[in-house]
Amino acid sequence: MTYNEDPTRWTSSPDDAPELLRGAFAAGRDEGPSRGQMRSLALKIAAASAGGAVAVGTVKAASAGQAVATAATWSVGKVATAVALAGTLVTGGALVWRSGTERPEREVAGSARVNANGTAAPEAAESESALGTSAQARGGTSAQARGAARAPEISAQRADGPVVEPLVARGVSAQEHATPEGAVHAGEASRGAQHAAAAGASKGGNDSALDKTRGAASEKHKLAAGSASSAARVERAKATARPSATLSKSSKPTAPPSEIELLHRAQIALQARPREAFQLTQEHRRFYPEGEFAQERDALAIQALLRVGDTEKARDLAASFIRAYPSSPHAHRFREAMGLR
Amino acid sequence: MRGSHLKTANEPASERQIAVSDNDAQALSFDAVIAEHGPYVWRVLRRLGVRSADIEDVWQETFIVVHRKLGSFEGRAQLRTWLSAIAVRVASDYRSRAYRRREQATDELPETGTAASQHEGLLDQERRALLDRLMAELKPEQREVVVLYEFAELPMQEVAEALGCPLQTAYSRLHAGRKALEQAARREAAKQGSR
Repeated sequence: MTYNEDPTRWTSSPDDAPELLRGAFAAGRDEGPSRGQMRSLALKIAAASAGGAVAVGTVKAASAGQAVATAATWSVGKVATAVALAGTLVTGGALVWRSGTERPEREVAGSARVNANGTAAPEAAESESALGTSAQARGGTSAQARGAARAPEISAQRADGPVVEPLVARGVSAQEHATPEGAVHAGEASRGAQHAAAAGASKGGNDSALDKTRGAASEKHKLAAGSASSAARVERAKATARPSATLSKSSKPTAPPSEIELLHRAQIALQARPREAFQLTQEHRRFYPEGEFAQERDALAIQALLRVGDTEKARDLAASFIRAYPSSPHAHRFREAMGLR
Repeated sequence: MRGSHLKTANEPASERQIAVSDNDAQALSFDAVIAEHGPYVWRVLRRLGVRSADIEDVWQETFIVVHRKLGSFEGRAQLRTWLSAIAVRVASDYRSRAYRRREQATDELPETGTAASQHEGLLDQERRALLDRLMAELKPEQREVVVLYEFAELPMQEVAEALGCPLQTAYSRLHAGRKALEQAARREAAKQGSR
């Protein structure tokens, strides 16, 4: 049987609908969010996308009271995690490759450093504990206030772990704004901080892609990579507050972890346990070969391989990644970092 | 760990192919997309089986994907078609998760927040609950077509694009879906009558 034109809609012509279905279709057609509900949702997603109080080129997300206050209204932890993931991966937070040196930079220090234009910025102390994480962040106000550029070079590291030296310094002016801006106790406000960090991370991570369609009018959205490392820090704080989960053996076959959960674990493991992080990305591949976050998964896998030291494999995968997702912000950074085309 | 691991693109064909004109693309901003299409996506998600209790989470999940992909949205078709394709995927993932958790996607919590429920009362709530029960009996591919055509009010050509299937396939699914809905409604009526 072939059809040549669209039939009459039951929702718009109830008389054409079977009688038993008329009421149900009409009720379904008329259902929608209230204006208040929509406004609330728009605010939440705006917090994630605009990163209103998250600093450019800084790791200040958790320190901004406004951000925490806004984020505290979030009810969706998993969404924030997803945003943090996307943003963290896109921005410099976890990239460990330095073009030309072909080795991860490592430092041991309990500090966070924001660099721009290749200039070292002052350092801020960062300490993490299971109950209360004090994430002291490096200053700078938001992009719209400063008119700051995006994607400064950021050095972020755990007190007990290696430094991540992303290499994505581009058009940077945030560094000159760097001033310490207080601390947040994530133990008390970890949820809010996570969301705040996620908010900034998301925007920073997607900035370049969005610029394509927004142009100059989106100045307020021009955020930097720094916020991403805040997200990573909050996630690390969470990791220290609970036992680390191993996946493959303990998972119930009937209830595979969600995409976000798997990648969240991989993100947490990336710095200290890159092999585990890589395994988690492969676990994700098995469960969700074409998942919504396949791109983030592959980017994570590349970073994990770099940390493990398997640079050859990482380059191969990065080259494939660039072919598969040529317009991805990750691809841009892999090209820059590895000299790939 | 070679290229074979990586898909050429992980979006359905429809997402890769759908595009808008340059002018439209320039006019796009995430905020504007939310303002203009947020309620639309909300409705589509609800009819695709997202429970009231979960709708805000899933709506945000959808717009996170939109946010991530908006920059690469080149577009030769309507933005709503593209948004619908994303919503369908996110809702499908949601239903899979709900299934794995052995939850009933049709178990509705009382609705308190919608204008409709405030003004039209219990009767409409019951009708919507009935609609959800009936729609839950459709095959996923039928449900998606019915939702995008009847409730999202996309033309069938765009429904087919959003779902990445041929137009005739979309028509067939709509036809079969409507038939299945009628049968389910008759069963439901018989059940009610026998009580």
